[in-house]
Amino acid sequence: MAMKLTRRIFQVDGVVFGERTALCGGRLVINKQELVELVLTVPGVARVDVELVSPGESARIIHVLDTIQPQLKLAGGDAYPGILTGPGLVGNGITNVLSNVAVMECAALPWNTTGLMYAREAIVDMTGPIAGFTPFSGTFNVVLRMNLVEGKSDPEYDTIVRMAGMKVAARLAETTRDREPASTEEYDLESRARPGLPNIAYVYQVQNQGTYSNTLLYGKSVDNLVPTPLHPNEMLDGALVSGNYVWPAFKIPSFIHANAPVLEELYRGHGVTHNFVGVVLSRGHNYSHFEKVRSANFAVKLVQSLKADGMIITWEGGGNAATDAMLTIQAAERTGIKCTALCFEFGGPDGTEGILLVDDVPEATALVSGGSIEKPVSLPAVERAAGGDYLRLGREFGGELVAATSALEFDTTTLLYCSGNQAGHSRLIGRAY
Amino acid sequence: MVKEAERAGIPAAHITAIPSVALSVGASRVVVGGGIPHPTGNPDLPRAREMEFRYRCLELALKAIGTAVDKPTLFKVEEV
Repeated sequence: MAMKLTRRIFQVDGVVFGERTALCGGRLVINKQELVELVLTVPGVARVDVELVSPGESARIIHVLDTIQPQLKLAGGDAYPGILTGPGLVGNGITNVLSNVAVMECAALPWNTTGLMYAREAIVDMTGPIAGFTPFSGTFNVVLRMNLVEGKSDPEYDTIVRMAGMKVAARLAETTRDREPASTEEYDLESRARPGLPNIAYVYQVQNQGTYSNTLLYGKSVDNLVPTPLHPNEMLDGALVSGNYVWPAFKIPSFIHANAPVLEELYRGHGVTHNFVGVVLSRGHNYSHFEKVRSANFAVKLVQSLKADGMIITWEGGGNAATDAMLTIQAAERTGIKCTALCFEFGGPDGTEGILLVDDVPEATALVSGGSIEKPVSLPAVERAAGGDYLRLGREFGGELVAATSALEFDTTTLLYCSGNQAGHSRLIGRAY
Repeated sequence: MVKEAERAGIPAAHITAIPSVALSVGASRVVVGGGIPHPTGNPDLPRAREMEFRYRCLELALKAIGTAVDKPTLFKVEEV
């Protein structure tokens, strides 16, 4: 599968409100009223405010659902296919990216659902001790603080917030049309592959458990997916979109799906230290042991068909997903494909209590720790909150509202957005001592 | 929880859809039930047989509690 993609990189040095939405030198200027009206074209949004949050601010963003990188395809289809447009194939052509601008969908989704599949509070601090837990302390964030109408179903709310975020991302990306980027990057696997280097595949396991914890591939959730090959360029162009809000630490936003650090690193070393032979997309959270084994075997079959000598696997989600991934590692190693994984660990406050992983197999001998999620954390008070005014905490204990700017203490990092570091996107690591 | 109950001298059985996790954590009696969204049920069965499946899960868990084991042991619910 040959694909060739040119990414034109627009890195901004500021985002401000102004009269006309446009890129002015290095600054992205946004007409606030225009974005408000754009979001209100989505049926189901009752009210919206647009807030700008920049790196270095004493600010906290809450109720974070998905986060999107604005992308505009100049040739080769439409970015984030299957959401605002049809499911046209992507991965070829030219794509403009506003590389350090993040559109954040923020809303207190109704807690209608019983059970575990509900949107938990999700927190980003721009400065302070947890800023490095999330990549979005380093981006210019366009926060959509939304209030939704009553009476919709959960699948409808899920779609409403996604449409709002995608429309705004598309509008902001439009500002790059007819502009010259500071840099460009070429992505193709064919021209640089060199014989003699080891072939490496990337198995990318995403979460899919139902509404509020799904991942969309070309606009459809991967409920019934047997693993499927993807060209890495398809991911760069937004073939995967997140609809996963259940555990903020363990989710991978659309922004990261389209900028997966392991994928980028495999591209960087392509033809130098290894040949990157492609991505295998698999679904985690299969419903039974039988289905997990079936999925693992299919993933490894595809890795074999890519003639890989080795593979890297990352997975999204908590304990359930670890079993899917471990079975995939086991299947790979048993067929002679060397496998390494990147994952968070448990281990209690000092790394010695209880278990480190929910599941493991003897074949999993090369795991890279992305840090512990069981460290207690203290968040100092901040000057300003975006996305909402009150955190919604402790639903299982009746629920409580806490002022979003106040100092906070948590036993674990599960509510801190992206802190599980599941695709290698945060600055957390684990060290043995 | 199962391990702590056992440590306190209370025999315990764990009904689960992912036995590998229960075994690796060291649960003593592991009852393999339905799927992850429904560990003690099977929504594909008609109502009456599903009730029978649920009953068998519970019955087997109770039987497991009454069975002496010296290592993590699997108990499989019979098909209805």
